[in-house]
Parts: sequence; structure tokens; C-alpha cells
Amino acid sequence: MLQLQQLMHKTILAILGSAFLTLSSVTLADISMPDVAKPKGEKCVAPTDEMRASHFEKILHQRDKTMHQGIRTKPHSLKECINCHVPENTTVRFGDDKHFCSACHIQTAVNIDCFQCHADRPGNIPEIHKKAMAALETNLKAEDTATTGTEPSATGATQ
Amino acid sequence: MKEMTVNFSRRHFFEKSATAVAGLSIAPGVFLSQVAQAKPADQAVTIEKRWGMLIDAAKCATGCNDCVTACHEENGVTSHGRPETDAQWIRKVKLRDKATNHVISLPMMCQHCETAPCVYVCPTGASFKRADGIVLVDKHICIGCRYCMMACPYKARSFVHETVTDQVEYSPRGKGTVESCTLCVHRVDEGGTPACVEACNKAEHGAMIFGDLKDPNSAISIELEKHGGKQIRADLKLNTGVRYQGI
Repeated sequence: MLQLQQLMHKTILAILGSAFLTLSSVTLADISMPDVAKPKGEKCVAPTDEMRASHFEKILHQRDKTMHQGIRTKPHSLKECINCHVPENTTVRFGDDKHFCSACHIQTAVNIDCFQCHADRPGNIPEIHKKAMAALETNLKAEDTATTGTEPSATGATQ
Repeated sequence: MKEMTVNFSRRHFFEKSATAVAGLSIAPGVFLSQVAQAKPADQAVTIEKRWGMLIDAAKCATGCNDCVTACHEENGVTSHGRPETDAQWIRKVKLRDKATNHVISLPMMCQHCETAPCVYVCPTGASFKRADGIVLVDKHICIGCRYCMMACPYKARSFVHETVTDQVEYSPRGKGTVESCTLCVHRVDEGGTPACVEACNKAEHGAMIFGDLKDPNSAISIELEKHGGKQIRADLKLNTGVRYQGI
């Protein structure tokens, strides 16, 4: 019985060893990398290797901070990933192998559910929001000018 | 870097001239009170503020639906033509006094309670209250059990029954989760006012005031101190963030 077990162990080790040798001879050049659209920005928020290995941790961390604490910084926000990596006015949707997120997740057989709720492409902002934010920005600029006093403005003059 | 500088000078301004702002914020434009609410993007919300809303039912026009339309446009809440199951973040309610036939109309939405029943009953912690008093659903953790919908005395929450596509980029919505008024938290965090309040002002009804209940100099606090404001179902002692006048 003991001999049989030892024989089995040896066989398993031999199989694993040969499998390792086969795998180690595969280089990165042999793997076909998914074809994705060129990002808008020049540089990502972290080196490519780091992003490949841990982008989900960064997004998850930022997700909780945004949801619960209202911290809306850009570097690790899903919205900004999409803004940079998915072209505007694209017809490509999540699930197509041309979509930046889908491309790798299809290849690696990883199911994500971000886009059941989140927008999978940039630029879907209703007119009402665009107008409100533009007005807010104008107000803030006017305030800043009035505060610093560097440029006399209409707001500054009335004060 | 540029953003940082802008934020600094903005804060600097308010440190130096808080009194001036207080005086100006009650002037006709909501302009200055909006600026006072701006918070740097990297800072967490605190209990220093409590966002609230004051609605004057006497000014709210019967038949006007602008707040509802604006809210749903802003947040990408679309109808499937099935009113019974369509999501509804805000709705107009018409009340008629049987004795006098006097009719009043008011918008009803999440009341952003201090002791929110929806938060109390949530089994996963998805329904929560932010430090600044805004009650939200963390859809990442929501399992769609709908306890909160049962618990809410204001019928403020909706369940998303159908697959949602083409969401607005700052307002994620998806099938199988519960949702409600967020007090336009994405705007508030950037110093803006909720879409409903903006629409009401644009229609020149001015029935809704949004602001910080903890700031005695905010337009909402001044108005509340002067004329008071009622909570709907005050008997439940929920200390709602949304108050009403003329009811």
C-alpha cells in the first residue's frame, strides 16, 4: 500500500514537472494580447504592470471612499478609467471584444458586473447637468477673481 | 495643481469674510450660498454640515411637474411605460382638504431622515446615511430585498425591475437594486444645488430652498427660524432633513 502511494506521488511530481517545463518555455510574445483602443491620456495613473495586476483593488478602494465619504478625486475613479480608455461617441459597448474592459476580461474569462449599473462609455451627460455645471463653474471663477483681486471684474466692482 | 489653488483661494475667502457671505447669501440669487457649499474633492464629508430642503407648498404650483422632470432627466431615470413599476425618485402629491376643498400640491421624495427607518432595517448595510445627513443606497452591497421600501413611511424608494442601459455617467443604476433621491449628491459634493430646486427656481416658483441646516446663516436656516417648517409624519420622530411650509 505504502509503495503504491509513493509511486503515485512520483508520477504526479513527474507530470507537474513536465507541465512546468512546457509552460516556462512560453514567452509573452506567444500570447496574443487583446486589441484595444488607444487611451486619450498620455500616461496611466500607475505603471502598466501594476495596473494589470491590481486595477480592481484601486477601483474598489476608491468606490467605497466616493460612495460613503463623498471623496471624488479622479485618479482611481471608474468614471475616469472609462473617460480615458473608451473613446467618446463610440458604438462599442461592454461585452464587445473591442471594449477596453471586455477585451481582457473575455480573454481571461473574468466576469465583472460594474457595467450592469455604471456607464460603459463616456459622455452620457444630460443637458440639464451640463448647463448647471457650466453656470456653477462661471460663478466659482467670478468668486475667485473677486477674492484674489488680481483682475477687477463685474462682481468685484459691485462689492 | 490648478484645482488645488482654486480651492485654496475659495476657502481662504470664506475664512476671511464669513460675515459678508452671510449677508449676501440671503440676497435674491442663490449664487453665493452655492459657493459656500463647495468642498475640495479629496476631503471626506463631515458632520459639520447637514443638508436639508425646505418646501413651501403654498408656492408649489398645482399641475407643475418641473422638479420631477428635472430630477429624472438629471439622473437618467427613464420610464418603461409601466407606471406601477417604473422608478420614481420624486413625485408630485395633491392634497385636498375635504372640509374646505382647499387643494395644495407638493413634491414628495426621500426626506433624508436623521434616524432613517430604511437604514435601520437594511440587512446588508447598503442603506446608509452619510456624515452630512444624505441618505443613500450603496448599490454595490444592495441585494434588492426591499425591506427599506417597506420601512419608508414616505414611499420614497423604488426597485429597479428591468435592465438599465445608457446610464448617465455620474448616476449608476441597475436592475435588482433599490434607489431613491440622492439629494443630487454628485452636484452637492461639487458645490451645486439639486436639480429639482434649480428647476423650481427656473420656473420662478421658488418653492424649494436647499442648504445647510447646521449653518445658522444659510438661506434655509434663516427661513426656518423666521417662519418655521413642518415635518411630514412628525409623530415618527425621524428628524427629517426635508421640511415643509403651508401644509
